[in-house]
Amino acid sequence: MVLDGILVLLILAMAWRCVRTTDLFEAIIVFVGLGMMIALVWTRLQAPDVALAEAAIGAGLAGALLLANLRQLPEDSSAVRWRSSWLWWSLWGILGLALGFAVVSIQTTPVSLMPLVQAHLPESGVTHPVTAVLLNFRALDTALELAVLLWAWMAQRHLFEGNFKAFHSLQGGVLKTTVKMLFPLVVLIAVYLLWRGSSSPGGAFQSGAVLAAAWLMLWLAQLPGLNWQRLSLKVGLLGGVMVFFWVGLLGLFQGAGFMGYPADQAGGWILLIESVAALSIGLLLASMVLVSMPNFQEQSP
Amino acid sequence: MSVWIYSLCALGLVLIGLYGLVRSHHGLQQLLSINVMGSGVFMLLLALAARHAPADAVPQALVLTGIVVAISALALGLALLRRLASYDEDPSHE
Repeated sequence: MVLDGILVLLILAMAWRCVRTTDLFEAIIVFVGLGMMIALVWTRLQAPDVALAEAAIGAGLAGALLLANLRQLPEDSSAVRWRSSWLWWSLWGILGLALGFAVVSIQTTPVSLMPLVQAHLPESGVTHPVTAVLLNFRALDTALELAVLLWAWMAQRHLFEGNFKAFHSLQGGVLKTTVKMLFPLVVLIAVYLLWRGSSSPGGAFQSGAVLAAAWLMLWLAQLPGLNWQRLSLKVGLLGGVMVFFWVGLLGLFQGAGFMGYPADQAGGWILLIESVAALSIGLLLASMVLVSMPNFQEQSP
Repeated sequence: MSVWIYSLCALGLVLIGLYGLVRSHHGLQQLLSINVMGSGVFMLLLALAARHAPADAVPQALVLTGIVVAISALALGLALLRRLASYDEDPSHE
């Protein structure tokens, strides 16, 4: 209870600092800290799956992405300064009141889909309810989400066409040795998260985010990572969406409907989809950050 | 009880994010503000899910999906900002 209060005050103060400060570097650092605090809140709200994803993606990868882009953006993109007016503040206040009213009224109607989820859990092929919802009951949402990730990566890649392979490398023997020692451990954590996902918190997203961190470490330490020209990498990037939809179509032929699996085979299909999806998510997230890295060749001719 | 605290915190995050979106004049900070607003939405969803015991898995799965979509949007937003900045530096470009 006291912990909840302290967390909420900290989060609100950090969010305020993040949007108020004029120093962009500070805003990013506060944003990363805010992500970690929010991950703590998710554990308080009995959502360990979301907490894992938030800590790895929301705080970790978002921070790397923002810092990689910071130095390549102009100091101030527009000269127009915003002046607060009473009209804006009153609109803001009215919106706040309306949202407050909505939040209060929604509390009085406790609707839970959990009984339904638990009733169908034995047919889903996994024993962890969140994984069952993601990969079985609402599989189409997850497949489309992978498609969104792929689409965002393609759009980003086309915006930076030309300096795709460039990245800012960090040299140093200590870094290289540390990365060499950490890499197998991080991959092991990723596989563990994936495997545990069927019965307890974890799964493709968390595993993919950890894999992305492992690849980024390799690239940053200038160790031989993956070659962008290789066909296998392109297949890896597309694999998640492709396998998901193929398995979905297979369900159609087997009479279980699009994105449905027969109950006795569900476990195997989910494991296949999750493994390929984790690989794709890891590659896509890592390349999103890498594409944003400053072009080292251009800066020092 | 903690559901109430976090619901109000969610409300606060959305309002702070909206304030930052309007007030800040740098695109990067506006993207951060949008993400703060998004965190508020996620917090309300999870607070509502935590009213039940065990917590409702459907909103949790939704938020998990939302986090990945949010980072995709952030990456795309940053790419667009950089493209815009390079266009401002050199208007003859393309």
